[in-house]
Amino acid sequence: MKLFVFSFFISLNLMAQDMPYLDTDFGCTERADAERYVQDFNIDVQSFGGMELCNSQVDTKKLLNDLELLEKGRFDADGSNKFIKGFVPATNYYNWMKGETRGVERGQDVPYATAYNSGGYFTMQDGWAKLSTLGRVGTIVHEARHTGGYYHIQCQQGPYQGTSVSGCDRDYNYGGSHGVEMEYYARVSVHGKNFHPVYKKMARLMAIARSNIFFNTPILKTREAVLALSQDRGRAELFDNGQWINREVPSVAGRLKRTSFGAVVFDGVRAFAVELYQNSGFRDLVSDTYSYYKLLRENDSSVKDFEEFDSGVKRYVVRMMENKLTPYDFPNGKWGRDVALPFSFAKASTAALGKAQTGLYLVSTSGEIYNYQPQNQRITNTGLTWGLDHKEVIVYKGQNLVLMNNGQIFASTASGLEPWSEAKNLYSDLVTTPVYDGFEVIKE
Amino acid sequence: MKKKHYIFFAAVIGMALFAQYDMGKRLDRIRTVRDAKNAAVRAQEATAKAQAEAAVKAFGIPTEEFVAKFKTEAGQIAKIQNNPEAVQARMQKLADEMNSRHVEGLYEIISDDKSNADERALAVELLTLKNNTASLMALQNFVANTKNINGEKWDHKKEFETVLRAQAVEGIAGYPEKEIAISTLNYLQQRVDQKFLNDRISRASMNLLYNDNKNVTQQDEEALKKLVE
Repeated sequence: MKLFVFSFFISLNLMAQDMPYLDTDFGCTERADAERYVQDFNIDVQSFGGMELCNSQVDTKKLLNDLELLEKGRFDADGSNKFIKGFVPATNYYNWMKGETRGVERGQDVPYATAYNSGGYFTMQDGWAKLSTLGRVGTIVHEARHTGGYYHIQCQQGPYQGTSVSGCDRDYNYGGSHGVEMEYYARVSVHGKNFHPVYKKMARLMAIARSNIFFNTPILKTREAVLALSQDRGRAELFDNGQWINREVPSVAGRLKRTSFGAVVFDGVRAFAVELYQNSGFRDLVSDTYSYYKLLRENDSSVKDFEEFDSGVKRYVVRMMENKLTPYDFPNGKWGRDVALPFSFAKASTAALGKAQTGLYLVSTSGEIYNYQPQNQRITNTGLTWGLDHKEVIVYKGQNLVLMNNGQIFASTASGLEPWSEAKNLYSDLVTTPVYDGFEVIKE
Repeated sequence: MKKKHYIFFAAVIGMALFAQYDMGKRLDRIRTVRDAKNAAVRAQEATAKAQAEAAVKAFGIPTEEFVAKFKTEAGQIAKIQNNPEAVQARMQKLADEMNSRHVEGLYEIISDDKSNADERALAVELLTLKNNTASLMALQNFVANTKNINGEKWDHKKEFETVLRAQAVEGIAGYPEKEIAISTLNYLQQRVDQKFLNDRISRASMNLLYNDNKNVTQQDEEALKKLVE
């Protein structure tokens, strides 16, 4: 196969007859444009491999392509809506870039960086040259913002949390380098007029992917809703976008559980889907066949509890038995190795009162709360105890909500537990659920 | 004029008319033969074209031609495109012309993190547009595999690697047979533990399960619009 791939891409044939273009005709940059770019951005051409107008393997040509995209890229909303604000004017990327750039050179003196900006002089590293065209353009825009004094801070969330590298921005509205780069990707995706369809698609996905990595306040989040079961268990109430909506609920005894798709009622053996998006008019039991509850074997009564939860950048699924738990091994598509529980297990929860982060909390029969850390498979005693009058604890918008045994919902505040102002009724169960018909957008 | 002269002129005119008649007949025969030959040639050409099209459909275009078109199209990603619709049509045509060896070759490209990044993105797009079983399996295996073709684990911190896989998930979700798309996403949900990708898989599944929901692209664009407007 290797041999095939080698021959597959070595043997170039430029006689592609029904293509309306050929590299030699369309790939070259006009010399006048190239000379203007070199002058406008004070490019050290020799450091990029010498002047090259046609061959995109040469780094000079890559940079010329990038600048051409910035100069000639057009956006739908250009000037059509005076209320559209931006960190960089959509009609003026080229001139803005020019104003923020004192010089551009190619180097490899900081190998772990993609590029860096020193007083308006950019040094593009090997990492930049290996990027996609979109990634290279985004990097140049990013570096230009640093000239205005916008610097990064340490990451408080995401994959770079806990590292010593200052790689994040506070939030989108700070308008830092990540914000400006994000704005460019979003504009290309939403308003781009004359970009390659693959470039546009990558811009959309890049914007979405980066939104939760480089901002200490993530920009785009999975929308979360609160799902509560009425006291008679006859209906569910969904609190979404500030409003309560009635929803049908399977008529079966069991506990409400959050899933990767929404919510289920889990009776200890089987899980039944709760329809969050519409009411069908029927109350038939519909087995949940899409979330991870399908991993449970039918009639496996040894399973005492089951949870799906996120920790860091990963998703975890864990089943709990009498005296052990088993995490699901995603890469191998099967259950992993058992972890012994050093206590008698009573119930699991993805939240614990006093902890603003979700995770997996294991409650012992004596009420002690343990935390399972999936990264290293450790179980530690949190020192917290499960309140005798607490039925469920969840995290909603960074705040603990507690469902009491008497059906009231309380919210954790600085002064202690207070009745949750949004609660309208008494409830028998409570869970948060992801809502997958849109994102929550947070600009500041 | 004497009587002899009339006879002479009449004979000349008669001969001329006969010659014209004869010439017309001969020309008609020539035309008929030529037209018949042309029709035969046209029929042959049409048959050859139909056979060539059938061959492309069955076996794809020759690999060298495919590679040339693929490389050229990948180069176009770095260019301004004044007619994106034409580019889309061109990519669809190229995908239609692909055969199973081309699909296999593209799978190797997307799975090699040392390949040119624009070529990898285009390869995912072509596999998406191809929409057959082989291309679906290529996309599925690309997302499911924890290692790249060099035997190294793919780097979750490189957002481009994640973006490519998210692009592949969208390709899978767009597979014309909905049930197959759902079961493929279902399989991936049990293989992918990266939160971002898992979320994309869940969104795509939900959209297929509930047709009235906005698809993932629309959700993305709506959210991004809120950022830039």
